[in-house]
Amino acid sequence: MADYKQQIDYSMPHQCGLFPPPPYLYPKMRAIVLLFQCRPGLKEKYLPPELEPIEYGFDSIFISEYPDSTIGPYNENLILLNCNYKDQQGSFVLNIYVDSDEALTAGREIWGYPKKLCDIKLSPIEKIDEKNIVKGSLTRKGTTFLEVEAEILDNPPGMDPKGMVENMPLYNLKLIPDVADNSKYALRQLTQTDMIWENLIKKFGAKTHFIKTKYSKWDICHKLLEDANTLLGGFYVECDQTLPNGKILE
Amino acid sequence: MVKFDELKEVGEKWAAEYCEALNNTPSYQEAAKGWGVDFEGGMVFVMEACGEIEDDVVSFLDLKDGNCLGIKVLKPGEKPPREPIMTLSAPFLMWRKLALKEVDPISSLMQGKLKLEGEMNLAMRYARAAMELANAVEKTDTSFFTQYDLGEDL
Repeated sequence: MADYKQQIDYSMPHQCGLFPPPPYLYPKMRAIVLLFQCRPGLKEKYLPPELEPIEYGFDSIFISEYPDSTIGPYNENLILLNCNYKDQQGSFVLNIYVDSDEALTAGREIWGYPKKLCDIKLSPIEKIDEKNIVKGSLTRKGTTFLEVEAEILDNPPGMDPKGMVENMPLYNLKLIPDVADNSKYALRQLTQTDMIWENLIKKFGAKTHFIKTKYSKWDICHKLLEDANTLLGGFYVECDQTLPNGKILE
Repeated sequence: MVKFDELKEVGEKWAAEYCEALNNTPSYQEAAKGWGVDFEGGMVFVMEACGEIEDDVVSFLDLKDGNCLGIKVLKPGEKPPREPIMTLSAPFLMWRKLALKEVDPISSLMQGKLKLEGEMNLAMRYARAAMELANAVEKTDTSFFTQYDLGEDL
């Protein structure tokens, strides 16, 4: 953890910094990543005009546990939509949920990520009926709006998870409202950030048992996953993750 | 046990049918547009021996811009005519399940029953083309996959 001086010199607002500058390190993180495919035609409603939806692509739900990180321990969920930016495919960050204020503010202020606070649960791998099971859930404002369960298999997936993640840059639209004129943005940046995964000590294929959603007027999951193909499986990893600075595309 | 020499003829017949099926599938042609245009488009399919099949059946698919230019069934130990950009491998039984649409290709990949090696960026960018590749199998005489005892379920 960087010292307080470094934080207040870096973060916004100037006198009330919560976090140090990137890169952010996430040693010994673990994550379940489950793929889905949105109903055709739905994704373009959620993507900025610069991004083109990839239908039948690899949309995904990440649920991660960071036992330690540059900004302390926390859990996180990402909802990602597979898309192209000028023929470079990647994942648009539709929503991120976190359970710490450092993660919330750093993500919003540095990268402009669409983060919200949420109660995020990711179970350890549990033996149930001779199967290795991982469960995850997201609860916000009293509603458990996303629940997943997957069987963790003994073998790795047929595609390398590191290759999948590192070939899927995160695209995000960073918007900062103008304090003087709410019809304008003070800042609008389409950005790209490339996650780095190293030291994959565990990488197993996963068979999705279910991805369940419940309507919540505060959250988008139920609408997004309506009529989606959610039984595509995914993978489970334990590794070291790094989140570097992003770059501005437009 | 069934050796490669016995599979060769029926395998080549199936490969020719499959190539024709790809060239007559507009959804594949649309999804694979651009494939192999400014990069090597050749792929290798490995149908691994299982059950009574004693030898792997390895085919080189010459794919370019949504078209199949030909499929060559390789003899055991024979190298493909060009270095493929991707290799898709699975036991013969798994290919049968894919051909008969008993399993989903992406789900099979995630479960490690189907293995993809090669350029991950292209694999994900052309995921729909990959699905259309799998879907086109049903337009062929699938008896190639069903006439053998392929053993126990995976």
